Amino acid sequence: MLKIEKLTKKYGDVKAVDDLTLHIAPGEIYGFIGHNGAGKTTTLKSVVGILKFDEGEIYIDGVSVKEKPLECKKMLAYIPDNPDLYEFMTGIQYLNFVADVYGVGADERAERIRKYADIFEITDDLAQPLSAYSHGMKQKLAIISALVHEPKLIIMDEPFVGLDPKAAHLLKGIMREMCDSGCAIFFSTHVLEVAEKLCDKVAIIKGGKLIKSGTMEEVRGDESLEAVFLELEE
Amino acid sequence: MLKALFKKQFLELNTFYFQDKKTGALKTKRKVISTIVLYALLMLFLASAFAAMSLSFVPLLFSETPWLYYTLTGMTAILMGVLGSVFNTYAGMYHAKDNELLLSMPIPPSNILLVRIFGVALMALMYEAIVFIPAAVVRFIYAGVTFGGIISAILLFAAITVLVIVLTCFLGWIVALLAAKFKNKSFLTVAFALVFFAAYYYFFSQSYTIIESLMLNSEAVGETVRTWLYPFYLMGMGGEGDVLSLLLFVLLVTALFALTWFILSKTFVSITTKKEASAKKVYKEKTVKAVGADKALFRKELKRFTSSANYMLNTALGSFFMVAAAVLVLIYSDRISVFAPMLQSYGDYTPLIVVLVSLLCAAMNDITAPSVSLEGKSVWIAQSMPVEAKSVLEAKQKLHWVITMPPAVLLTAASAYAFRLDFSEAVFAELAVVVFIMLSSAAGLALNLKKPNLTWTNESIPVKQSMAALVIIFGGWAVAVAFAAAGYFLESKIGASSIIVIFAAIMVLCTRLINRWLGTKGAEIFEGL
Repeated sequence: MLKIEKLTKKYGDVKAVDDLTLHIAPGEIYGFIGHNGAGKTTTLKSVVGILKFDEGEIYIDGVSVKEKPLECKKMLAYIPDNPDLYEFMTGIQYLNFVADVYGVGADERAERIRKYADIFEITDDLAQPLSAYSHGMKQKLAIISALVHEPKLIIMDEPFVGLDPKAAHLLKGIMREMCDSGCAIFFSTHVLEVAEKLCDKVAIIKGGKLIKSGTMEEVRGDESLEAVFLELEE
Repeated sequence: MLKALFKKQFLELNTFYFQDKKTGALKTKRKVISTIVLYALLMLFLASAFAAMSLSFVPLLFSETPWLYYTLTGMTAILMGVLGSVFNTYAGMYHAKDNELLLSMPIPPSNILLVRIFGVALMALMYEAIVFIPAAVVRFIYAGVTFGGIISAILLFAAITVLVIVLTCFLGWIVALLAAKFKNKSFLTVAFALVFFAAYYYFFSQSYTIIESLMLNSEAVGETVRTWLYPFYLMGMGGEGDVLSLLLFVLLVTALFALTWFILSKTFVSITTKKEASAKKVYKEKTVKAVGADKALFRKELKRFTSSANYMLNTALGSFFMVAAAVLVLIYSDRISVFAPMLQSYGDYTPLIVVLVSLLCAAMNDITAPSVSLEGKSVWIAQSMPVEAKSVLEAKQKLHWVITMPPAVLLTAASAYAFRLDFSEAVFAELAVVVFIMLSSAAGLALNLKKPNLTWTNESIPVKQSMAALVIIFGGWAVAVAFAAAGYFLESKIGASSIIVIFAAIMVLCTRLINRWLGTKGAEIFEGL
């Protein structure tokens, strides 16, 4: 579903991501871990098409992000680390806006909004302006907006930040459910316990370079993911 | 602590004017100098208009009531200062994005308030200075320069600045109190502002009569001011060098400032942290109609526009004026039509005047000029969606057209009717105005893309203080003036209709060129923001 081939992204002379290659298959939940400034967000933003990269290629379901960015964007959903949404809209206006842009029909969107808003318990708040939402509520809405068009690939940057334990638990369930139906998820996290329990595969990035990747068993061996991560970071 | 807060404020200003928003690197010397020169030219342009006004008051300096000179120019400076800064005060003081962050720190709220007032003061100072400084210079030229005169002028300038701050903060506070009680804050603020503007423009429209009557009855007017507007009498006398009057005026202003400070500091935290007064609205599912991406993008722009009084007032005031002007033109069409034959005796100027009036009003709208900056930190949404950047930019232009074109077309039609233009002249006039609006929207967008600011803490910064906004408004007026000059010099040679058609053709050409840039390079810039 997602192929990142020899991705390099520079900021001036500094390589934020250096020759990174990763393949994510449909149905996989792929965790992306690394210290602050390791290049996780840069990689994710490059995949989403927000950042232009210098070298390499990114393919989503075989389509090049460089050559056909709009086609790629139609297939994916992005949840950033900080849900800066349109504060001048209400929750429902924002969801309808996203659904309109992605061409989701009225009935389909109504059904999905109903389903996910109920799951995350924000149905009653959908008429409120986003400026009145808490960080966690905005995060929930960003997640619902990502799910409203049933993407093939979901890119998430620290999706659990700001979510209450119940919402975090529900999100994990939804992630698994999405992947079981053929979707792929690529997400960054600092919560190694979550990565360990949730991910089928994991990649560790340091200084823009991929230093280890594979199935959870391959990466951690007999140790905990935390121990492996700390060891590699030294 | 206060020093740190002021440093933050200056850093914000410095970043805005002299730093590249993306890289954080300082702008090149050439860019900094060109920014400064451009601002200076704009200020000079405005100051020259007020110098002309001051010249009309010069006879007062040699009348029985010379103090009326500073009373009148001072009152104009106060009005200009208040008008220029009042609509930012509410947003700037109570809705700055970092208010909560600063309140969470061990900083006395009064210090935060002081820094906010400082922001208001800078704005007030700028607007007030473009009236007061030319007035003082004109006075020095005609009444002579004395040491006492310079000191008085400086002190008066300082006192007027404080008075402007007092009035602006007080009005901002009133708006904040009202806004806390009502749901549709943005529309309430717009209504408040429009009433204010209506009153201002009523007096402005009467200014010629007022000045004429002042000149003829300066003694009687002086007596009235002394009786009913004593502080302004003191202001005028103070400017003339009367130490006691100046001292009393300064004391009065200081007392007013102390009172305002007391009220504001007592209410600052509660107003800043106040949540919606209305009860929470519970969502009830409704049937929605799916629309296409382009329509959704346009709706989003419209929602952005109508949700902010600041945005509406500062970028679309021309539309309100045009509607009001169209109504007035229709009401007084019989009187206006009398002028048409008079003007015709000089040449076929009426179609040109019709176009010029609409251009001057339409140029006041600069909706696209801050529209990219207003995306702020939410810019990732448009960038990550499956829509071309070109479509996002087009939606911004469409908003400008929808808000500006109908009132402009209405005003042009009303003026065409009042001046009894024939059908073809009216059509050409409409065409010229419409293409001017298209150019204005494209140019505003292009300028904002060249100098975007996505990291503002207060939306007044991109809306009101950006280079794009200033250039578009003053540039639009410059285009209108160029059109008037072309009309004056060429009407006898090629006729009014030809001038309008040529003007429209030039506008179309420029618009196409800018739109081509927006569709390629501009879209690329937006994608990379």
